[in-house]
Amino acid sequence: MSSFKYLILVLLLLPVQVWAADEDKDKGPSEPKVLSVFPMGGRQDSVVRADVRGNDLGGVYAVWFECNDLEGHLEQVEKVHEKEVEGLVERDPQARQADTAGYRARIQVRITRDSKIGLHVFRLITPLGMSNSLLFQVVNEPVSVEKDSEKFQEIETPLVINGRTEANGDLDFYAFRASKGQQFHFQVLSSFPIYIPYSAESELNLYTRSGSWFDPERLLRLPWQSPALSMAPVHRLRKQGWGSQLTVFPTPTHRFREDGTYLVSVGSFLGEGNPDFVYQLRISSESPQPSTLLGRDAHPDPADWVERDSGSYSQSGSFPRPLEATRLKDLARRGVPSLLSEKPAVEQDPTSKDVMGPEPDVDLSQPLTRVTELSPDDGTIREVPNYAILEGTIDPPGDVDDLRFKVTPGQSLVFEVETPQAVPPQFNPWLQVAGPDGRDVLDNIHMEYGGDGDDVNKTTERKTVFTFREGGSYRLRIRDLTSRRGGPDLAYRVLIRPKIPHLGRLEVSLGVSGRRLAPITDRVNMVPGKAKTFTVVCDLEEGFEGDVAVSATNLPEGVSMLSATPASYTKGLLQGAYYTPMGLESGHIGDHTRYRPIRRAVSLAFVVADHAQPIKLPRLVELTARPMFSGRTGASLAVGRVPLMILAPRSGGESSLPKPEYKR
Amino acid sequence: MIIRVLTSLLVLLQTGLLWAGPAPIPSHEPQLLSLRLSPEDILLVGADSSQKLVVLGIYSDGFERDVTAGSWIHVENSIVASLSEKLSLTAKADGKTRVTAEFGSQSSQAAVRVEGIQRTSAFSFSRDIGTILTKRGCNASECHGGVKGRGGFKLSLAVLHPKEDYRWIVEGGGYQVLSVEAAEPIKPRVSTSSPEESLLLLKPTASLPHGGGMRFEADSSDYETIREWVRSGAPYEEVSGARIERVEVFPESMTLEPKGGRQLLVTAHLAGGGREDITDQVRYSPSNPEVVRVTPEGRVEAVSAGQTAILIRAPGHVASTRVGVVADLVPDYPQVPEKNLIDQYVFSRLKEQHLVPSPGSSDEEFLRRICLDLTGTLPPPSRVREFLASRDLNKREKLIDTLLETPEYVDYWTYRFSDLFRVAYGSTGTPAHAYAYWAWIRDSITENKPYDQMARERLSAQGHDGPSRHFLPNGEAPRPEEIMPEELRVFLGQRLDCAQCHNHPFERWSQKQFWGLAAFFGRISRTEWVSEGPIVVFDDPSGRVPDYGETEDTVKVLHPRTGEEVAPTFPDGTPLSPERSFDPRRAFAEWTVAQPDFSKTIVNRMWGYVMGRGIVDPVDDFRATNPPTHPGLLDALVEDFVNHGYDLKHLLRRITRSRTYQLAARPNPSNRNDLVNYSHHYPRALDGEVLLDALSHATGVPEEFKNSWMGTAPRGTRAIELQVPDLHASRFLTIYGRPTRAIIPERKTEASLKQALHILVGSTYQEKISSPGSSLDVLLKGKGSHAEIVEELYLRSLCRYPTSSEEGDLEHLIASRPSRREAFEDVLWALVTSREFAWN
Repeated sequence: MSSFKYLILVLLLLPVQVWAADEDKDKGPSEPKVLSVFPMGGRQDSVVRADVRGNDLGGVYAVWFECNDLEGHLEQVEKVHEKEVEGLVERDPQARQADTAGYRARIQVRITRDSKIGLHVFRLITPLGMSNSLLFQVVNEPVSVEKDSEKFQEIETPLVINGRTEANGDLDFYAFRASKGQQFHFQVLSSFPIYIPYSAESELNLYTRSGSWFDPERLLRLPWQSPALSMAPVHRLRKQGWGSQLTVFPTPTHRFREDGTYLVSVGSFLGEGNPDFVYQLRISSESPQPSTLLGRDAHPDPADWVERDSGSYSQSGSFPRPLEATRLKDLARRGVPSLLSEKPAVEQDPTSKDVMGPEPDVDLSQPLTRVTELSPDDGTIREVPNYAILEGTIDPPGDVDDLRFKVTPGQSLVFEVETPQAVPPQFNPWLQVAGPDGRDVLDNIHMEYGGDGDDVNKTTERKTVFTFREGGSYRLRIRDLTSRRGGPDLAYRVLIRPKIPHLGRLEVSLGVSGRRLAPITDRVNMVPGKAKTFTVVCDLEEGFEGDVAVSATNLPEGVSMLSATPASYTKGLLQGAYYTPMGLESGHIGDHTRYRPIRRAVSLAFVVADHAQPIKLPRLVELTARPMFSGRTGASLAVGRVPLMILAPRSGGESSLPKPEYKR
Repeated sequence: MIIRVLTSLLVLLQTGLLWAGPAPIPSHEPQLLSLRLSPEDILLVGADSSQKLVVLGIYSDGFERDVTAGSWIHVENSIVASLSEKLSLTAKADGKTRVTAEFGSQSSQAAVRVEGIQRTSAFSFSRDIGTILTKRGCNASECHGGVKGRGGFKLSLAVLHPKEDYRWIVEGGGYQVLSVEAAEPIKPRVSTSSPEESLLLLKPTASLPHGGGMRFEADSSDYETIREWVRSGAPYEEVSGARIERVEVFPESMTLEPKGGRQLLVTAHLAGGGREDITDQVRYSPSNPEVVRVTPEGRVEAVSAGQTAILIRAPGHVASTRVGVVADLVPDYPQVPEKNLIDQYVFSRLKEQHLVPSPGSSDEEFLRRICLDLTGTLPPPSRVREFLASRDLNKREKLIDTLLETPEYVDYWTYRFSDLFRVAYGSTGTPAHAYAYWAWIRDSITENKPYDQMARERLSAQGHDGPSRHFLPNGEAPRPEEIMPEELRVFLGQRLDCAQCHNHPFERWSQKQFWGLAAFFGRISRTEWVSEGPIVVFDDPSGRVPDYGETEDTVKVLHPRTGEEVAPTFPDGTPLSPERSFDPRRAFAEWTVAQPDFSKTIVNRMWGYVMGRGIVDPVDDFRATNPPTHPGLLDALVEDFVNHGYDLKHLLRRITRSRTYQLAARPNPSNRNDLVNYSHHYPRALDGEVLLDALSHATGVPEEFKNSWMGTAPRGTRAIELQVPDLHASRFLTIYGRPTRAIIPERKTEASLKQALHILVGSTYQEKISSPGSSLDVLLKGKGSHAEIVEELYLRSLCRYPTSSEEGDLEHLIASRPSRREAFEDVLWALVTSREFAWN
């Protein structure tokens, strides 16, 4: 089936899939759900009043930020009138089915001078529990809010504008001054509810008020000068689960040829309007710094581990994790240290299956050597040590960097790539290794069946593991997939290192839906006497064959965590997709362990005792995991935090809980 | 409704689109001015060589008449060459002489040179046998030269592939499309032991049943030639010096008066440097037999007035000449002023054809035409008044320059190229892909990017930028055999699809060449599936990704008949060098823009857009058998285009500034049947999108474009501005022929019953006319008089003032209606449904 047809099918089936995968099957009162916050952020050292739209927010009594940077207060909540409810629930199959009501909550957010720049997670708390999360962006530039009444809203730059694409075909215009030769950078972060099954991204256009012989008011659309990319966002943020989706676009620029007033418009790409389509637009003549870009997590957990990318198997992000000189040590910390320091008891057949164990004579505590100047001007191919960080750039377009390294028979190596500046799709690093006979033996392109099962996906991989059957001198070639871009921003780091058995990504799953395994919830609201199963997915990397033990801290009183039978969706999580092509065990083509970990699931359950006392605000339960092998354990590794609330028991039976009224 | 039809008829009558009839043009007796003997420089090489002679009289009416039959022709030295009864000069001895023709009081001479009289011409299969097969029509497309041959016997058209022809004749067997193996029965078609029993002789002489009937007699020289060839063992021999390199036809074009006639001369230029008169050895096929007929000896005779090409097939070659037969002679041909190089070529041809160009267009006609042709947009009434009132002698040139710099120009040509380049959801996989592709086109038009650069960018697109989305039909990598012919059609005007399965039946393209070029696109690959994020297009030396059910073998570019893998190879047989194999499409792009047909194709296409007909027509069907009507003009425009850096705006400026472009649409008696010489403007129906925008403009009611993703285009978006049109369903646009862009669009402009019904009972017209807030609504609520409202409606819709007669009639009509609003709605309906509105 073509992808085109598949998209249509997805649209048709989506509501069914969402319900089919919900394992709880609890038809009681709905959990509160929030859809949008507008404005979706504010400046440091300010107080912002914002509207949160959502369903089943009756009785809401608190605004709860997961961090201490921001403080939220509830000012008012009201049911929204019929027309607006349409916008809230009409397109949301769950809300429609539950005959749910639409609400608008007015909140106040106090942002301190020290509040971190970036996205902050918050929820609304009601007697029915906590809502899903929404994200609130803190910036350090002046902030403004779209004014509906004006045709062209005049603004002063730099500025971050909060806007909303409320109705179909809406375009918000902002007029600003630019001088001849001045360059501006534009970034838009758009947010839309999860029930919109496709990417309702914002469309950004730039105009000059040149007028026309036909119409003096006519605008002329100006081309973006860089990057020359399509509408598709660079990546979608997936950290939040239920409430909204965020898309972050490349930051286009334009250098103005004349002094004058110019306009930028923001609309919904496909012209759909909705009160929950909100956006933030930043306009600045300063080159944006990575640390202040819209869409950055304000509180990245230093314990978060990025093995390949930011949490997805697909090439939806960049090559984000830094390849530092301490990489070997960091990896070793995620394994079982005592194993890593021992040699094999017996000599291994170099062609036999990889075994978990140490690599020959590697001191993992030593920093790695950095090698630069990979392509000497004299045309020779440089030989590099086979445990090193190689740094170079693809410049000019079509540039190819070749180098050589030596291996012994049966030696396993890991090739990791980082692109610290330009990221896919602008820069798609392509590693190819050729043997002594000149024939290619591996590259970092992985193929697997995808789409609806009859397509083959190719992805450029951040990490490739390979065991060399034959020793000798091998050539490593580094280039871009295309021959069209080059420059100092196409910088790469390639790490060649030994295999280090370890635990890779560790992730909590409270439930997923659909063939792409989208998370269906991001919180646990429980009443006494109830249990909730969940799964911790563990990636066993580079031959780690041990076990994983998971523990929890900061559990509320009366809540315990027990082991459980695997949840129904666990199989899908382990194979990376619900569906694989007919007749195939998995969608991978060839030796997938070259590019993928072995996945294991630890199934657990939260159990709330009958006597447990309700709590008014959520508790963040901290989950950790420890690798184990042959009776030895490794370090305790952070898995994640699960917000959990114990609610008051439902009076008169499980399904008759009255909805609490809002009290001022 | 009857009132509306009557009103409409009234408007039509007044606008003059119903032609009132020709004015008589007087005639006079022409005078012979001079004589011309052709060829002027005669070279006879070899013992059997001969040359047909033609004597032309040049007359005071501008005609060249063939007076050979009435001329007295004599050779100065008959030892060197002699004249036959058929007025053919035959070599006798090496040397030089002169031949003289006399007619009336005029005479003309030609130099004659005879060389190599001792030499007899060597046998060549392709020349000697091929000539018979060609001249007798055996290898014509309707006979054995068809795709699969006929009766199990396959020949290439006009001996385009002589070795294959030889194989089928000498070895026998039948052609198979998907295999190089010959189909049974494998029986030679010649018998060297009994030459007379050869099928190659028995069939064409009808000695055996033959679907093609008798092609030559058993006692003919052709029979004798074949029999002797078979008797000598049926060799395949080629003499390099005897190979025909090109074929020349004299004249390149001709004009015949009614019942006139003229002899053609066809000369083969040989690889060895010699020339040969092959006038009697070729096959003549007029494209339009209702205009002329041609004898096997090459004499053209007028049948009826009109234009046609005559195709001349020689072994391995096709040439053509263009013939016009005039309806009436114009003895006092007027002096027609010329503005630029276009007029020189067009007007000299018109004079030759005795076609008097229509007068220049009125300012009203020009204004509407230029606005629609350059911007697809009607001007507002204020601009119409301003332009018509201007006394500036250069106002047309200034307006052209102004329009070329408007945002509407960008809108319109983005739309045009989005059509040609097939920007659509369906053809790129996602709306975002289609948008990116559209944005690239729009930015290119905004920047007036040189067209060769646009071509390079599209053909070699990699990565994630706009043109790379063209290589993701339905979100997947394209099949090389589908994408390559599209590129050649768009950029080289070649329709190559049939060469995918067999050698092209009409052209020189072979199946091998097809697959060699297709292989340049055989390595297109992509990362990641469509919904997962950015898809990067690149050329993977290891080839296209095998999809489920495919194997590594099935995704290789394999020749369908031989089963062998085909490497990227240029048509001349040069393979892609290894150092360029990482980037094969860049090499393909460079090759493409270097082809002479590259510039010809875009110049012809742009000419076709604004002139209503391509110099080569259809505009993307360049082939020897579809010659240009004005080859000199096309060449001159191409040179001008290339010299100005492949500048599309310059090209449009050049065309629209010409007097040719600015001629009136109304024909005169001499050019009323002309459809190819640009003697008057050729009105044509507006594209559905432009018509809908014009309707929105005339009524002041913008169209609302909802899309299939629950969104709506911003208010005021015009049809030509839609980025991804196939997302926006529109009954109006469907009825008026909007293409899906699933293939390269070929818009049909014929009126249809659906259109007629939509005009009468469809919602679009009625709702816009009677909508509250419409321009009419505003006018009716104002204080304008009937005449002022009528004037405003005329200016808005037809870009002109109503004539006094129209004013009077409409005043009377409006006054007679009980409802003023209804009366004006009827007037507006009549205006926007008139042909003057819907055509340009």
